[in-house]
Amino acid sequence: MAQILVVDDSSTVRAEVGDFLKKNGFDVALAVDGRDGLTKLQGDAAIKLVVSDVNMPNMDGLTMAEKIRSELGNAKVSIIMLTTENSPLMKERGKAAGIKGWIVKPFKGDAVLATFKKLVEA
Amino acid sequence: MLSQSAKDGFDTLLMQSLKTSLTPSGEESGVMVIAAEDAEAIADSQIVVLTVSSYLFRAMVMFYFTPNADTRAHFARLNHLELDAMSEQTFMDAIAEGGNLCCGILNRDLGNFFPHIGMSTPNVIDKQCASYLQKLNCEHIQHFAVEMPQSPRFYVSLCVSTYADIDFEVDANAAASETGELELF
Repeated sequence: MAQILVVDDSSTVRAEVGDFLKKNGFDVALAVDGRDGLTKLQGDAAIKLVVSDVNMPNMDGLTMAEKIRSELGNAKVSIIMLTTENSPLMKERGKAAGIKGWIVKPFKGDAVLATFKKLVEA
Repeated sequence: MLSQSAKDGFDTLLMQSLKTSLTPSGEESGVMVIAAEDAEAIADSQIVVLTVSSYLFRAMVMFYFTPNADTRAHFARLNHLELDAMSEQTFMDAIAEGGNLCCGILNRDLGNFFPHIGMSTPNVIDKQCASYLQKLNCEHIQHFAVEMPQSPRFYVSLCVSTYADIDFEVDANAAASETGELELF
């Protein structure tokens, strides 16, 4: 049972973000790409927030977000992208897929902690 | 052809992104990025290489490193990882992520001038490959040294190939783009 799912192909980012969230009291699950993210989300109904990279092998984060809404039919989980990308076109695609927000790396946990808490407790 | 202003622009943007990406948070003020003369003098054994490309150019960025104790300690500190718990795979991933983050910032900032732009994933190659840089017919090659307290000196090479005339100007005094903030939709 996890509250937040962190999806990133980089083990460094998974460790950094995952450890920060755990230290701040969240239950965290990890996935290595979009395909793995879909599987983990499908298997854990407690997940309230997905924090995902965009560029990943097998399945990118935006495709995963679209499939969360369409194939899984999950309209409730909040999705936030954590990426080096800052392209308006990508953000528009994310908005169309119903993502909640966008963070440009590097990850600064203190800047987003309060919002993450609100999204998990909603 | 790459104008002198464009060459300076590539250099400035890479130097700014190096300060952000290779430095532990809060230690940016102690970092110096300076031009280095010759890649042949760089003693490191391996390179993380990434490219940032548009229809008009390809910028290749190479991060030299030696997988020793000092480098491991730096990347553990940079990524808030436990040094003793860092496996070889985690170490290599941390170095690759450092390059990824740096070029991500470069990619984003170049996007202000070139809307259609993309970035590769990081690859690790042997330092001997650097001897073939001239074969790429780059119009602009610049090496940098990154110096920061409590860390080894890192070297980085930038090689830019062009497919058209390129001219743009970067304001070196402009504030760097905000990162890490959550933009809610």
